[in-house]
Amino acid sequence: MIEAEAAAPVLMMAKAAPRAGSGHESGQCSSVITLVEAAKSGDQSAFGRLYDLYAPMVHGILLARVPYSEVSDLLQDVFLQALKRLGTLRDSAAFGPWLAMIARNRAMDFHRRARETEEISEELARAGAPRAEAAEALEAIRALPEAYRETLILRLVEGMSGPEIAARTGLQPDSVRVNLHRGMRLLREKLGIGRER
Amino acid sequence: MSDYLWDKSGAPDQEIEHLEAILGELRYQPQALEIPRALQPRRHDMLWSGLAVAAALALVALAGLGLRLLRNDHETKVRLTGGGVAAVTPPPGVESGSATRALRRPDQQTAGQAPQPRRTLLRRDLAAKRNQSPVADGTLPGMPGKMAGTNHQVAQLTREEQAAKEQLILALRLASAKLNLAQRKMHEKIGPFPRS
Repeated sequence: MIEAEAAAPVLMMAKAAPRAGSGHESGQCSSVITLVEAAKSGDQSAFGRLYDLYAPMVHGILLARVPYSEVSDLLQDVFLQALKRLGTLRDSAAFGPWLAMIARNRAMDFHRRARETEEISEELARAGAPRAEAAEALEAIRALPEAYRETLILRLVEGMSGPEIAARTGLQPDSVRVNLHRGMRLLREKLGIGRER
Repeated sequence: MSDYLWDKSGAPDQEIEHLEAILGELRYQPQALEIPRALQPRRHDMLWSGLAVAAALALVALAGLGLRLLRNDHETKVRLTGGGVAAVTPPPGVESGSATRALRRPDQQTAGQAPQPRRTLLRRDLAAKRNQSPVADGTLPGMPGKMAGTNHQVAQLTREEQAAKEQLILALRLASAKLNLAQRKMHEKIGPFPRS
């Protein structure tokens, strides 16, 4: 559990992270390693840059598993947990997969706790619900198998490209490509829209 | 296979574009990360922690070295005793610490005589032994001929060891003082260690 302090200073990371194209992935990998090493040694601005780079991925992973209204709070939790445990990360190049695992575990933890407070969670979920059309599409994606669900949300909601998803999550590009196409085919069937071209 | 779905290249797929537009409202909106003060790393404290650990390690290493040297010193004393030099108990009123311990030959012990520093006595003993020795090459009585000159080497080694021991004690004191300073500074910064 993260103890929040009343007078907590705020790191401004409001600028959108630049979205890298596939050509920049290798360069980004080395810069991520540099940032992780700097963050490990206590550089908060480096951790801020990592937050900028990886927040969309964590947001997508959480959105695939928990109600939309809970995602923002959990996103903060995930990064605070990551900051606390950063010293335990041995391979700095594996920061993305490591962070993705923290996000998945946090989502599971949320569901374990939510069982005890189900009624309140449902009310909160209704209060922060997206518009009907978006909610319907999101529910259709969430009904897909987990591997397709996460990849499709990162692609369709967060706007990440396939190579970018692979680079951030540590998945093999071929796996991401397969998940995208199979997931999209299932989604079309569920939504009753067209056929795969 | 649609390239647009994979890397957004090629002709856009209208259905995918439509889904992107609908779901875009759920996209991550950049927000500030609030880091509680408790989670903010304190470089100064980390530096002092590192120094404290380094000092503690140095202390342990020096203590080990000191023990080893003390053991060697004891072995040397036993060898000297076998050659006619005996360790004696200091007279009453004289501190029995290692610094004031005296080594004398049994025939030189006189009541009421003030104890002399060990190193001086040892040197005199060895010099006298060399002059009075029936063997010209400096072999101690009872020693085999092969060990000619060993007595001198043992005395030399003892002096070196004594100097090393004194240096070691000084180093231990310095390391201990540094460790205490580091601990004091850490306590000033973060207070005493929490007890679980």
